[in-house]
Amino acid sequence: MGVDASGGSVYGGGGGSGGLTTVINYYYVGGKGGGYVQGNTTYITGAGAAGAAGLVSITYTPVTAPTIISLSPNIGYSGNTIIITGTQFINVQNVNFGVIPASSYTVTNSTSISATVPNNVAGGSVNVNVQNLVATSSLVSQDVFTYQTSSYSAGFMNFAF
Amino acid sequence: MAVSYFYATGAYQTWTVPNDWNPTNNKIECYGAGGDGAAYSGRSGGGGNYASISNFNLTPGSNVSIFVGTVDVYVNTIFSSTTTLMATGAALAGSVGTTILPGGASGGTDTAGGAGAGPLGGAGGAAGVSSTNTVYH
Repeated sequence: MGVDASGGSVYGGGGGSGGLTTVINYYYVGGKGGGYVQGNTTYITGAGAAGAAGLVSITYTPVTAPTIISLSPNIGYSGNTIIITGTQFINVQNVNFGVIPASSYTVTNSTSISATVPNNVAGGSVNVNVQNLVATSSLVSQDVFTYQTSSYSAGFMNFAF
Repeated sequence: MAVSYFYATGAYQTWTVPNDWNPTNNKIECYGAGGDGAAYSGRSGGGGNYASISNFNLTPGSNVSIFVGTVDVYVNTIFSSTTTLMATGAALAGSVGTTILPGGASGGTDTAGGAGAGPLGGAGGAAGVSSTNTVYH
C-alpha cells in the first residue's frame, strides 16, 4: 500500500475495510508513503522527500600552444645556458634548437625555461621551439638563436719590470 | 574555461585527464547528497556537504575514478579516492579537501530538509508527515 508521490490516490489494504479510497488534494513530492484504512478513516503515513543527489564539478582553464617571447641571450655557443621567456610552458615535452633537442632544460615556471644549447656542427641561426602536450610554439622572429663559431677569452696581462 | 559535470549513476565513473589539463588553474568540487526525509513524522534530511580542491596536479592521460553519491546507494561523493577529495552526505563528517563546507542540518520533525552546501549542494529531503482523512463509504 502506499501513496503515489505524483498523485493523490491511496490504495488501502490491511487493517480495516480495505479497498480503494480517493483522497482529494493530497500531494507529496518525494518518496512514496505508506497508508492504511481503518473503518472510514484513511491513515496516511507520508514518506520523507528524497534528498538531492550529489555532483562533481571539474573546472579548468585549458592549456594552449606555447609561445616564445624572447631568448636571453639569443647568441652563444654549445653548452651555454639560455633563458626562454614565453607563455604556456605547461606540461612541456621538448625544447628544440632547430631540429636538435636541447642538451637539457628546466621549466622554471609557466613563462620561463632554462635550456642548455646543444651541439650543432652546422652552426648558423636556428629557430628555438617549445612543445607542450597541446602543440608546438609557432616560429617567430624572437625565437631565433645564433651559434657563434669561434671564441676568445678576454683577459689582461700584467707586465712587471 | 572548460567545465565538466558528473551526475549520480549509482556506479563509479572514469574521467581521463585531458591533454590540455592545467595544473595551475583548476578547481574540482564535490557535493555530497542530501539525506532523505524520514517517513511518518520523522526528521527531515540533512543537506550534503561540500569539498573542493584547487590547482590539483594531475597527469594528462591518466584515469581518475569518480563516484557521485545518492541517498539510496551511497551518500558520499568521491573524486579519485576518499583521501584525495570527498564530500560526505548528510549528517556525516569526514569530508576531505582544502575547502570544506558543511551542509545544513536536519530541520527536525515535520520540517523541510537542510540546505546543501555550496552553490550546487544536494539538499536534504523534507520529513514525511502523517494525515488522516475520513470518508464515508
